[in-house]
Amino acid sequence: MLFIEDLASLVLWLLATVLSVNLLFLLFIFYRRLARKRYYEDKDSARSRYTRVVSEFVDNEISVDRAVALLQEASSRAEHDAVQEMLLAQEDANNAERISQVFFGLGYVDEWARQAFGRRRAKALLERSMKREKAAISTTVPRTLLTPVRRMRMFAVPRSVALEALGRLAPDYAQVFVAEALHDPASEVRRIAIAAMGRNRHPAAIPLLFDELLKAVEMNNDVSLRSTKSALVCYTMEDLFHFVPYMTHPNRRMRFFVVDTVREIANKAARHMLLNKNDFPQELYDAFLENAVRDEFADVRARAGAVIKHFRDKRAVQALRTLLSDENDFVRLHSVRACQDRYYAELVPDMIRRLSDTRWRVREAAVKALAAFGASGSNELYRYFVATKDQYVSEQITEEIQRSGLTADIVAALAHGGEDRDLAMAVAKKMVLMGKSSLLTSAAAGLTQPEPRILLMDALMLAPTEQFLAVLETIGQTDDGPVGDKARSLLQAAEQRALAAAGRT
Amino acid sequence: MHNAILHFFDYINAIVLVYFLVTNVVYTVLMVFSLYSVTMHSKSAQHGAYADLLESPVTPPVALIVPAHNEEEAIVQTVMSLLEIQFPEKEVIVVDDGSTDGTVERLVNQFHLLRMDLIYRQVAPCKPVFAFYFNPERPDLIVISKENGGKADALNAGINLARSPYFCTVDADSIIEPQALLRLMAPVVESSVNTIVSGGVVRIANGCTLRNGRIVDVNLPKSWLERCQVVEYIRTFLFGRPGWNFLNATFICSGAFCLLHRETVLEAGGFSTDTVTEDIDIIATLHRFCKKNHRKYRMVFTTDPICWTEAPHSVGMLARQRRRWQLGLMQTVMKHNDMIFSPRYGLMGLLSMPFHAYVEAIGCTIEAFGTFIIPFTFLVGAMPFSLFIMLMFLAFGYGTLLSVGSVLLEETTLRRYPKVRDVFYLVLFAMIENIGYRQMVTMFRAQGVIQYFTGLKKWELVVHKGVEGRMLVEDEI
Repeated sequence: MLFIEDLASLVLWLLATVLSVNLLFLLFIFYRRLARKRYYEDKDSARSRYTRVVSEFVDNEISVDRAVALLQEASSRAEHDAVQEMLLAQEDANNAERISQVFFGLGYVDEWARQAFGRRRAKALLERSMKREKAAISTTVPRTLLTPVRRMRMFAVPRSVALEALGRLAPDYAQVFVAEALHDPASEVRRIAIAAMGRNRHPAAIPLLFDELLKAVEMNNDVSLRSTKSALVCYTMEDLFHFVPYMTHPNRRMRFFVVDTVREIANKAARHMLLNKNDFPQELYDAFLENAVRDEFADVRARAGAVIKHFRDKRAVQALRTLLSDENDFVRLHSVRACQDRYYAELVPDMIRRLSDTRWRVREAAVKALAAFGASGSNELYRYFVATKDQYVSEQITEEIQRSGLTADIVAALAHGGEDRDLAMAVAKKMVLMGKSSLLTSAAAGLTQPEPRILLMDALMLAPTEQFLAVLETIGQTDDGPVGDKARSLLQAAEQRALAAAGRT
Repeated sequence: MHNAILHFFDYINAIVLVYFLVTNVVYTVLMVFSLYSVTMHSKSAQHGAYADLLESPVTPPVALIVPAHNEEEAIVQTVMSLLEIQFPEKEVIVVDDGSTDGTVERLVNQFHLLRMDLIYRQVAPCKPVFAFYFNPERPDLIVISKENGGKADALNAGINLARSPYFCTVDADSIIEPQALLRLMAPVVESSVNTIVSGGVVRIANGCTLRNGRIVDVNLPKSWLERCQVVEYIRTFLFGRPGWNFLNATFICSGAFCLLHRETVLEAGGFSTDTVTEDIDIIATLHRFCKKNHRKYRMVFTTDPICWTEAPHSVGMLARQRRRWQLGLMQTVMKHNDMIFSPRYGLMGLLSMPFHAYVEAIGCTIEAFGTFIIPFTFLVGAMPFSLFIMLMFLAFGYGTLLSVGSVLLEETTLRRYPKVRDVFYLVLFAMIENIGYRQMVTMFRAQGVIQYFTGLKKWELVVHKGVEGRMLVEDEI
């Protein structure tokens, strides 16, 4: 019984402990609420206090030294954060250097560097950063006894946060820190460094990023390939010169990623302006037309087409023509996609040939590419569609006709007359016979012009669906004109056909 | 005879005691892991460059697949919220799974869709597809209309049509936060190993205010039942799942909002229709497939991508939902029972599967049985007072510690409930949901286990009031 009583008291103690812990949790929750409220109040008041100083500094009305002297008063964490956020929000390419100098002056950089690299290394790095030195090329991660500990997220996260702040400095100042961070054992820290390199687009970072990319390609990097590629894609057309040496890298996957990165950069630039060969460095232009199109790795050739299309000259046409008839289907696929540009109209016959490619994805891409050429391309497409006996090609063309809204053009052509009408009618008939009549049925139901409506009804009658018969019935009941007459006669014909079919069975 | 009965009660009590001890020990360990990983993730989020991800052409496209069956009340809001989601390249595929209401009509009218006959290649098995609806001016939305075949079947139809390398399953009555998909994709992009699953947190939208397909004001619901469910969801999503994820042994990712690698899912055979919880089943299937084929893979669970969903508002609906979940869990663990204690599947086979099979799936019957038998044995004098107190403590007292702890974790990391009053109620309900609510849910779960053993396979339909109906409209804000 004594034992039982002891156990009971133990349980009561445990219960009391749980309740106390719950109470402690509760107190902590409300303490957090209060602390956060106070933090944001401090931050708001710091914001209102320093807004004028920051705007005067950004407008070049006060010097760096003066700004440092005025902002030095911000001492608490909330005030630090407010000043940092306000300055970073105003940062652009013109004032990045001055803002960085303020951060140096206020001692923020020193603090971040100590958090990211430790006191000893921070001092040397700070000096090198102020001298705007470039970083060493080697990015090998040194192994020490502390490496496993430093890899732990508990210790890596504060370093990452500090490095994120350092990475926001002007590129010349930030480069030393982010390059040094590539020696960090934690992948999270290195990922932040790589992302910062991409944002800053410092030319000195390109070899480091390619080094990281190579490690990722060789499966030796715990920072993902995508993260490194994302950083490289941030570079602009002006930086492409630095990519040239990597175009002939012995590792074929590395060459592929280089070509693909150039493709992304060029595509990004092409969204704002029409590119031509003069926008690319001559060495890169030559490397693509002489090496990449003949690369032994098909993926390189495939991606090369998407860059070459931006060159827009005779050599580019020739190169794309070669790629369009490449032995590898992946290359043909990407080449067809690359030719979706009116400049390459002379390649239309080559693309027509790709409509009968052995791979469906190439055929699909060819259909899309031809549709992108406007009326001339789509008419070629229709002619091929009407003539071909290949079921898969036909299906892909109907898919594109429907998805890209070409059906509206077909219906419009039915109203015009002439050669276009005949072609449109032939397309509509083939679509109906293939059982792809839903969209045409909707068009027949919605049209107001009698002539194309009657033509569409004739086409749809080749293989009437329940949906179409319902439409006919509605038209027959609501329309008293020639369209209604046509609908009623077609319905009658359908009924006779059904009766004849029933009689046969 | 009397002695035999006493011995029988002793055995029963010992089993219940062991069950409670094991459960609480595992939960405590998971709590520690979760505390660590959620806190670290929350700190890391300070440098989570989601804007970079949004602008990067390297971010892979995603297909958002929404299986919908008779969802005419909520479907337009859901699709609108999905189209508004911040993501560089996405396609929204709504799969109308044989609805008998106006689900398709609502979508067709709202988004001016046209019926088309698109190419459809059936890779994953599913019931016949009737029609496709598409608008060339809105190429990121496709509606598929198909014969009713259940959620898994609808998902298979969706992945057959999807063209993106990743797809995200979304429930038709869910609201996704604008940045949620980017946050779900972040670990995929950052991982050096193929990440085949990325799961996020599901929250209860009852009581919140919705405007234009977005949650604009987060509030706790008014009824005690919904508040208890809020606490339960917080505990599940902030403690249980991050804990298992820390051990790389994720077993459950909510199908309401989960990102998956399309090719791997297709290779593994797609979603299976032989369980009523296809989301649990697909995770186990993918683990099995990848381990068998010696694939390097990763499954992640992230605590900040948020999807809001509507919780059952009545005990009857809650019972249906929990019975279905339990039935699905039972079906899944029994289907994959060869993984239990198999070292071939690593911690998944050695820890996660046994825990989910013996504690989460079957264990609830012990808990339910114990809820009745313990007071009974104590009252008939077959149990000493000390043991009775010990069991009561394990059943009620310790549970509050976990629940209040999860509210604390929510408050220190995510802070989705801005009002102090709501936090106070969360703590209060974290303490009281262990008395009454938890036992009630345990009973429903035990019913689910019984349903499994009696051979029931039906999907118990949970009827919601509808997101639109439950939340304030713009004028009322």
